[in-house]
Amino acid sequence: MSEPRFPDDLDTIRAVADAVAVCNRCGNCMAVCPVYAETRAEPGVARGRVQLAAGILKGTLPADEEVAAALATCTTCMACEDACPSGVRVVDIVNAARAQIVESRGLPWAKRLLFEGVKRPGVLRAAADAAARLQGAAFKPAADRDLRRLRFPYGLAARRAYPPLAARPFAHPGARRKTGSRPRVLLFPGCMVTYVYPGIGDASVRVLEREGIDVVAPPAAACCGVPLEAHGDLQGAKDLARLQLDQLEGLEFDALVAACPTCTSSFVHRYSRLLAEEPQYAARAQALAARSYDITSYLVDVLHVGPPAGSLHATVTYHDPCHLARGLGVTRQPRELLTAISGVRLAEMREPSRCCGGAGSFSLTHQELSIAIGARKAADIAQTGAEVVATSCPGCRMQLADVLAQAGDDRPVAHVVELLAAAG
Amino acid sequence: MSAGADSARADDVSNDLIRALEGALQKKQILTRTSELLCYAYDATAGEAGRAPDVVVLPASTDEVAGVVRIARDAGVPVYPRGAGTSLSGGAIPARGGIVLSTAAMDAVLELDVANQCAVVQPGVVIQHLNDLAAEHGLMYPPDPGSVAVATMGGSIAECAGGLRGLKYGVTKHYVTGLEVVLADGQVVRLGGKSTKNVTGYDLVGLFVGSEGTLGVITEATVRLVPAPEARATMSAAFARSGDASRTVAAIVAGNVVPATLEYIDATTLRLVEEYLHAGLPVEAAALLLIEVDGPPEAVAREAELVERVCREHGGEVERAADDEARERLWAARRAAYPALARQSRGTIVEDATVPRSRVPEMLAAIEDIAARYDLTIATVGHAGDGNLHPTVLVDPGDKDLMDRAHAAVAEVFRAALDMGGTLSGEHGIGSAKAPYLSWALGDGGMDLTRRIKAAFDPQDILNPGKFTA
Repeated sequence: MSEPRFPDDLDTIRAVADAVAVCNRCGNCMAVCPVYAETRAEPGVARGRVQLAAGILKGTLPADEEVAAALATCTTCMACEDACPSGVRVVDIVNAARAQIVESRGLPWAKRLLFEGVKRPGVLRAAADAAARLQGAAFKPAADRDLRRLRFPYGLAARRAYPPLAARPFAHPGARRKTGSRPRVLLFPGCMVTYVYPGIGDASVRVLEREGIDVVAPPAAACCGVPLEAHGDLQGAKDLARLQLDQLEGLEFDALVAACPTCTSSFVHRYSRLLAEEPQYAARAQALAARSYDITSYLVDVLHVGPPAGSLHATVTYHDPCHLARGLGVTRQPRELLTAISGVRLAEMREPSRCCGGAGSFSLTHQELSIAIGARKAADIAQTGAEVVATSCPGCRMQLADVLAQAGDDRPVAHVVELLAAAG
Repeated sequence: MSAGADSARADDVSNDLIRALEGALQKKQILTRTSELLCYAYDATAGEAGRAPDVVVLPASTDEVAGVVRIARDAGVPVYPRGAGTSLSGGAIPARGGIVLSTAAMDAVLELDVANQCAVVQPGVVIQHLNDLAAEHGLMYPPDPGSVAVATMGGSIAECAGGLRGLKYGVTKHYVTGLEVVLADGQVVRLGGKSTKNVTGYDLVGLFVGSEGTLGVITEATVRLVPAPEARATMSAAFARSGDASRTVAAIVAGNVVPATLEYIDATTLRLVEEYLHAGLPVEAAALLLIEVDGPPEAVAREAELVERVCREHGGEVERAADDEARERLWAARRAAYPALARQSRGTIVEDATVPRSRVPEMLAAIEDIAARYDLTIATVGHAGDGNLHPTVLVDPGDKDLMDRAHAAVAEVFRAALDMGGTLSGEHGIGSAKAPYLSWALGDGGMDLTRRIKAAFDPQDILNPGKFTA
């Protein structure tokens, strides 16, 4: 088709209003929305959310807690965007409305405190260290699993089993001067890999080094900003975008690679859009976007890796993370990596790219919904008879481990790179 | 009375109403927040302004539906039954406040009776879901509206939905054999059953199919299933002149072949679909026919050959799908028609005026003429085999002049269809969008009878008021 009819930047109310007008309320989103499948109520599906966003942005609906709560039930899985005949950018619209609510009401104090911390890498690190040391007091180990349940259970939280924070966060030497001709990858770990699953970071390093890659880490571990944007803290998200671009400026590397598709999508899509009105940053963001990759796509599409030396005798099923499959269009690459491992048989589950219900902090703020959505995924996994569950996102990994544990299912869950590293 | 006192009184009414509903339902089945109500003010009809209801209820059983209707009866407030809200004639839009009764939560397939080839379903079952279950037994439920993946059985029965397979398999009314309905006074009646033959008094089941929620609330349905076809052949035929394509439609059926699907795609749609899909469609063609025959393999082979021959005789360039992948490519083009049109404009008015199939060439010419006179883009796709065309006007609900021209053009389309012995609606229903034209089709006698039927079933006019019975 000809020209895109909407500006890329949904920062202005006018642009969002245009985007909203594209929805012709056909309702196709109802077929794919994981939240609607549970609630069967219109405020829980894109068609309804878009009307709410329109109301807020036009000022016909008060930007209050009630509407904020309705918009908060979106997992941003993008399934509706995929199914939408009119190309409505639901996630952008929802985020713009959330930002509008925050702008008119401010962030709740708890979120403000948390996000201020997230914005300062040092504070985040210190808080995570303290939490890792103290967590024994609040969590009790769930039987036989590397998951912990809250020691003082209250409400639904008692049903959730979370992995402990890592005793040793992921760390890797930062960018030194580049020597030699080896391609260099800046491995962006992100919060989940750094503090919860450092093993995914270690496996990424191992797999990349095996291919002769010189791997370096960013100077400081800091959040990509997606959680802030999802909670309407647009300014905070922009601060983090600038912080990331600033700390990577001048570093020598050939590609930026992440094992968390949400982080990757920040570099590939979000930063250039968030900072569109700041030309210098926007240009840097665009340049970085062109050489940013999800790790599975980098291994397959850029390095054309061969099969690992070792083998892994297991039937594996693969869950497509929303932000990888729909956000970055990467579905073939992780499967190619898995099936290249000698001894691995891939058993596809039903609807492998259906949201697992994790969705970052959604799993904490909307536990009942998150568990219900996850239970369907656990059932789909069980049906495959696979021995191992693979995915390409640390957030999905945490949710899958949790919902499987709740179903009494002790299948291990691993990131694709962990299986690759293990097979090496 | 001052406006202030008026709205205070209205608040009292709705507070009393909500308290009464709380006696019949759990709190979580009652939606009252402004934001929630806003999400039930519309359906999929472009440019039909609705207003938010006073309350939305999500009953989970027939008893709960009956309870809600009794409360509405006592309070004298409207009840708007709603399935998935995908109707295209304004049928699900609350016209003047009251209660939206969503049956979405009643979504169980109660029985799949293979011996009797039928299913008993609750109204909130999604059509595709029933089809998925039926397929496990080699059966299918033929009605397949474009919204099949989201539309509910209750909604599609109330609207008598059609679909692509209508030519050979008919529409919803040909498959409903039994209903459970909550009447306007809260009484529950069970009508018909699993028998395929049934002449017990009036055809009350038939009366409710297509009644658009104006006579009662469907709470359970028994529907026929048919064996899924063993084989099928799919082909496309491109024509340099649109008249040749539409004459081919009539010729195929005159040759005593009844394809499962016989779709017409006009040049405007073809061009937009190609821009959207890049599927290598013949964009230079004036019209494209998509044809699928199904049945036992030997019959399919014979019919496909005949269809190809008729197409060629009329100047069509025929391409037969060699395998499932090629078949999927052809259908993807048809499915993309709506997205391609939707992306081209801010809104679409999808009409479904229907004519006897021999008049399809004339009807297509009339639509082209009307589009030119009103300076509108009208893209026509349609189930040409059964005379059911979908002239789709590209509109912008924010552009009043454009909307006025579109509505005037649509009125002319209706007039043309009726003049050719056709109808206002093949499968979308009348609702509020086509209500102003209903008397053209029914005449004074028909309108009077319609109103008397409505009054007999719903003397207080509380069931989906403000629609075609108003």
